[in-house]
Amino acid sequence: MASLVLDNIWRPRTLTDRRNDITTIKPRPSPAGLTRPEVASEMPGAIELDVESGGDRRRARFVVPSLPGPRWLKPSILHVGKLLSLPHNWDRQGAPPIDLSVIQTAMDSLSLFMSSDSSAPQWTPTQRSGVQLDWHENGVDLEIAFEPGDIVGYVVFSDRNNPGLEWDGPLGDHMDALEEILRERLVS
Amino acid sequence: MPDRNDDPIGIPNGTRLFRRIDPTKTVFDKDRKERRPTSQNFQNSKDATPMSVFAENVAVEHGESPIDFLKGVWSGWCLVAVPTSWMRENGQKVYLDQDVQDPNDWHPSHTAVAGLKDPKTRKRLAEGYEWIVPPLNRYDSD
Repeated sequence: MASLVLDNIWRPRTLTDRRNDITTIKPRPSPAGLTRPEVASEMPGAIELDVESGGDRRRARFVVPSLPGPRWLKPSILHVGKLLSLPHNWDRQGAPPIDLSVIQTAMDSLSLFMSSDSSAPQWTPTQRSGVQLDWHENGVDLEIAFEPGDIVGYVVFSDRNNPGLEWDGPLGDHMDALEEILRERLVS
Repeated sequence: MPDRNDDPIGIPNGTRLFRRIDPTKTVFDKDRKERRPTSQNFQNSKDATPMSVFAENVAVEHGESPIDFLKGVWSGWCLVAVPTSWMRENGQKVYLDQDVQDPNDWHPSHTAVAGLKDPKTRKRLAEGYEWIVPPLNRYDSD
């Protein structure tokens, strides 16, 4: 990238100009301190996690479709445990811990449209301490957000192989499409 | 809060806007083969003030560098750049906003990206990202 020389004084043109040495910045570890959850128990139709968050230890129980369950279930449970370990103020703007009931809603929804060999979603927190599920593979960009207080999730889809093909809306309006995408395109 | 106008003179389309990224809100993109910020990073604030970014043209003018945006409470966070033109193409107003800032975290390049950010818009805004300070696990799938 070019730099700018005026009156023999070098000035960076952009903040990532090589001469500005910005590209040498080393990322630092996340202070979120995520810890791997421990599966406390598995029983027919339910799973319990021991989760440590901000010095507190608690047990979270989820209803799951079956055990050992479909391939996407175990990675999802591990993601969920990490989310539950986020302490109060995890976003440095006063956010409360992630809402357990939202996670259960998301888990229930997944079992409605996922196939046994569908790719596992990636779980991340939302601004309102809900959860967002993402898939970015095989040309598909798919997100489903579940927020506290909302009965259903909200889905946004786009297809990199077909620019212009995108849709969004409440989860219930797109169940058939989701089922097809997760059976045909998003498979592990 | 009074409406402010888009400022294509002060913040031209050619400049980049830097946005802090929460490392817990990144996911692996198997097509791009790297982690990317989720759309949740591209929202207005919870107090309804517009999304905060830092305009590169103003930052250069004032001698600010990307690492200056990741100090103190923001250490450990990441930084992306998004073209100003991309924000405007997605219906956002962009203007310098030096007044609405924490006095302990004040930057001359502080800029507002105002406008509706529904889920579809957030997703589109996120797609314009370019890592400036990537997460440590940028190339890790999990």
